[in-house]
Amino acid sequence: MRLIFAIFILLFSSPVWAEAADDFKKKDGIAGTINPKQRLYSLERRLNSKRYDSPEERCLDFKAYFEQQRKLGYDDCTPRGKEVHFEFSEEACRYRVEVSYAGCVEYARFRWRCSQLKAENQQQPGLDLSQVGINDPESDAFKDSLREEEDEEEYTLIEAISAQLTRQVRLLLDDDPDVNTPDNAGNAPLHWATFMWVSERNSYVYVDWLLAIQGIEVNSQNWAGTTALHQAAELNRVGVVDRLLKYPGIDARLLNDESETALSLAFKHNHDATIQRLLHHFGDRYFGWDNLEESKLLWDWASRLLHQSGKLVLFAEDTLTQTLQQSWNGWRKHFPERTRELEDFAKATGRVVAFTVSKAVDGTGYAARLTLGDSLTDGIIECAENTCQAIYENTTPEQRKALLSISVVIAGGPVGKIASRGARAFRKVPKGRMPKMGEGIVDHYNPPVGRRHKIGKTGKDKSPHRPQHVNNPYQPVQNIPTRINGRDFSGHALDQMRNRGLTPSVVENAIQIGNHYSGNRPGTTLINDAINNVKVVINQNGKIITVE
Amino acid sequence: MNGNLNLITLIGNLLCSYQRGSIPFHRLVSEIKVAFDSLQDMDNEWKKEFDEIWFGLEEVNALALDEGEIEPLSGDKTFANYNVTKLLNLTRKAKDAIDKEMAFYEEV
Repeated sequence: MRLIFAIFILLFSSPVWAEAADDFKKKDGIAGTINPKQRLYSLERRLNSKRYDSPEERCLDFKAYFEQQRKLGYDDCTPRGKEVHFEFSEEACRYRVEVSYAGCVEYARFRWRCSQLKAENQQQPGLDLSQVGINDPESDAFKDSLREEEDEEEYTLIEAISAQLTRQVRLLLDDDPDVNTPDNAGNAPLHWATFMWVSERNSYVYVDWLLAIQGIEVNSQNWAGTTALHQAAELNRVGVVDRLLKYPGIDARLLNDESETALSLAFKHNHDATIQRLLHHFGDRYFGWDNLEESKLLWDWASRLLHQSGKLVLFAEDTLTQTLQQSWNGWRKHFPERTRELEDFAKATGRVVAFTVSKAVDGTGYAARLTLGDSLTDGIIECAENTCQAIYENTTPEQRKALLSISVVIAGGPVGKIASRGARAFRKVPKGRMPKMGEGIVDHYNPPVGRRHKIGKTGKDKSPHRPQHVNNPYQPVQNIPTRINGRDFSGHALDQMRNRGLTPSVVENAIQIGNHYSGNRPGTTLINDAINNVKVVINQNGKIITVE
Repeated sequence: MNGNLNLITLIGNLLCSYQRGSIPFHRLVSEIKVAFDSLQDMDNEWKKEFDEIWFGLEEVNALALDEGEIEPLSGDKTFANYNVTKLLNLTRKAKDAIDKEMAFYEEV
């Protein structure tokens, strides 16, 4: 028995077996790669600890690492899908190795920095890039870095920009300013200048230099339809966005292959500073943003509304009727130039121009009805309670009565998708006559008064929804039964009122003016206030037991 | 679409869990309401029907909680179970509709 055991040990500890195990490990680079996350972490550890024989080997590991990140969906700060594919293709990586080993490492740094910046931006919207280590291009350190570049090799303009060789870039621009030659993925030098992260200072300089050259195609699109402005907006390069928007002939309305404008990309990533700049650009150009500024609506609330709806929303003080066609006619009458521009824009881009009318606000009971959710294009636009609340708080009753909102679909899915949404909104309106007030509105109401908490977001499009607050499972009732103004409320009723933002006066109002029915259970009474959409249930003792 | 499907599945799971006795009644009522409120672009008639049935459960829940119970009172149990079954049927109906729609889009 001992002999058999000794042979077994000898056999399995022999160098032959060890070699086979090594081969197995080498085959896929990392042992135990079944779990994608495990593979990612293994690659990360290896990149941090392994002493590589050649830069190529390390670069390929970087490639594998990024690909793994992409598979796991960790790369949402990267450029669009096609570019990602290009960036991580073997050719691209080899190309980077050939140009410079540093390029690959720099790209890794860019990716890391990008994710870090995104995290910072989430905490601190509108963060200026200068706060995260961008130096002043006029500083001595920057000028010294230019002097230190003593690279004698020849580069193309894109190679020089991607390798951050500022002196080479300058020389190339002086010698042969062919600034529009794209790379294999259709990226022009301007794309690269916008894209490079490692030294944002250089990025500004490169962009300035490139824009100063005559004949630059500032609107050039790569294979994914991405322009430099798209990239700058997506990556929140505020400085670059500023520079590009100032350039005459820039078209900020261009769509990429995913039908996104620079503005929609900025919204998608919640880049407030970029959004602000793009909106002002749009406003000055053709949307008459001055109307918004003249009104007392806060600009940032409008932008939040915009963000939530994904559409451009204009507010104006105007007294118009409440139907769709009439409101548009009213806009035509009052703002002929702008409406014509919007219509032309819709025709030119194939986008649907949608417009909505908020209901007039004639009293506290209708406060929360001041929403775009009540619009005729319901399903396209929603607004959260806080936005509505802000609109309500920052307008006078007269203004609220006359509030008109117009939304312009400037980006989004394919035309057909939007058109079908529009068709869906109108499906309830009979053909052959104008829609009456409220017709075509899908049943989508907000509670009449008070404020409900927006708990979170769900769905593919992350559109806001209004779930109620839920008590902890071990705490079925949080309030204690109380008597308010002579009326008994159960703890659960108070919980529900809190969850739905209903005040006791609203409940009292419902009891006074609502219709009384017998409830679902013996002894209960159901009171329905159809005006404010409030339901109250009273038990046989007259105690309010729940509110909806 | 997927979001709705997930929510419908969640509602169905909650109802099944209650029927199996895994979750208490008060939790069923509050959690299916949350999921229901989160549904987007659902058929309005379906939503109305669901909401009405749910409100029946809410009444039962309110009566029970007022008595300090987390399960329906003895007189309300049959009504509650009946309504839970109705909700389950409605949920199945919605799930089938979504599945069909998704299959249609996949074919397209």
